[in-house]
Amino acid sequence: MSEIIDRIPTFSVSQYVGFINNLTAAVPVLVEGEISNFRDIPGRNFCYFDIKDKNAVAKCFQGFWHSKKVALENGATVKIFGNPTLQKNGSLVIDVREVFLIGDGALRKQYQELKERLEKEGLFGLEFKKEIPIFPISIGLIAGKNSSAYHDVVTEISERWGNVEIFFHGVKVQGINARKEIVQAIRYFNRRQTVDVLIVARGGGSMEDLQAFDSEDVVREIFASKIPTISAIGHEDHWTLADFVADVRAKTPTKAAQIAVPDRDEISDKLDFFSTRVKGLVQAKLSEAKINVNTLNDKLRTKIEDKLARIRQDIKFQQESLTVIVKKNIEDKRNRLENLCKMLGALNPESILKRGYGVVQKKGKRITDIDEVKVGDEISVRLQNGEIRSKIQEVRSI
Amino acid sequence: MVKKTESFEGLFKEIQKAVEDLEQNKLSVDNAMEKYQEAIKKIATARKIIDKMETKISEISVKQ
Repeated sequence: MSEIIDRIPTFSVSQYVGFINNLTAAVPVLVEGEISNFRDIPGRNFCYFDIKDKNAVAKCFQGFWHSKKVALENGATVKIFGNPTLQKNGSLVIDVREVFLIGDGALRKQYQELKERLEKEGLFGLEFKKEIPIFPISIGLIAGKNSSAYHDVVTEISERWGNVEIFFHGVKVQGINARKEIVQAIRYFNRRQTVDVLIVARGGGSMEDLQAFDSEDVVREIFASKIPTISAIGHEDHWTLADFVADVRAKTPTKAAQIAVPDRDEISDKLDFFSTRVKGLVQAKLSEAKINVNTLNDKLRTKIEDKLARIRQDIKFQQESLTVIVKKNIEDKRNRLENLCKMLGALNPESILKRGYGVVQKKGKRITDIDEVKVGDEISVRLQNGEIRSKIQEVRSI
Repeated sequence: MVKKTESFEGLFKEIQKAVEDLEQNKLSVDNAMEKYQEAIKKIATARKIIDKMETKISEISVKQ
């Protein structure tokens, strides 16, 4: 016995405390019990509480309590995850890293309070919802590895559309580190900006199982995501807080895939419709053009015929007018000619002679004045039917 | 966002635009014929893409 004791190292008290804590650091524990003696230290970001069952009590300490955002209160049934730590004062305390509410009652209460607070803050507002692209080229999938949710999403996308690359980021979807891994996965995709849409999916479970998706961290991370996000978490009729903040909520992972990508057959039918439609539109256009040409042709012919008719009418009118004018002209000239003839006739010396007048001549020269003759001159008087020769016996003026 | 070059979405939108332009009936006959021929070619290309579509899956490994 003394040989065994001789081989055991001797510690100082401080060394002993360090030794125990090194041992316990490698062996984290999950402890389930009821919270009692809860103390939130004002102005400090940590709290103390006891966790107990019927027969025992364990002391707990949680640092950065406010940032964990899990409502702790006396009477709540919880599961804590942490490491037993021997304090310098000799007390054994569980250094709590994560707290999970268990029992629907407590979870519902926390859910409701957080939902009201986040809703009031506006995180669920419709104005923040982003549109899901119709034809994504790449999709980020956050789900449990080898989970039904993963298989459902991948199968549906492949069968429904196919023209897409899926980047799968496997995460824990419940229990310890689930919240942290989901947050990190969302941040990963947002940092790299390599996908057009995110799907966060997991199958059904109890409120306790789905706690990570009701945590404030996950909700805020989805809200902050620049990539449109589809959530498909849990049961059809139960909405986690992540579902409220997502851009679109799908009832199931399969439905999420249907929202994320179009249906190949529907798109093919749409292309057929477009093909028929453009053919119909162009045919209608050509028919319309043909009708327009025929109409223009008819109008042109009518205009030309009208024009020709008017020209013919004009010509006829002009012709008639010209005939009238020419006739009148001829008539006028004839009348003038007749008048001239009449005048000429009146001026004809023979007609004067016929009226009893005679032309007096002296030595062949016509005499019109008595001063041109004297007594004894021989004159001739031309009458209509001959000539009289005579000698002037008297000259008398009148 | 992922850069989209020669994407199906781009092609689909161009086809929709061609249909809308023809429906508005403001194009000349020559332009309408040209638009129609372009649309038919694009529809054929889109159909080829649909026929060849396949899903690629990449798993991300990140140290937690």
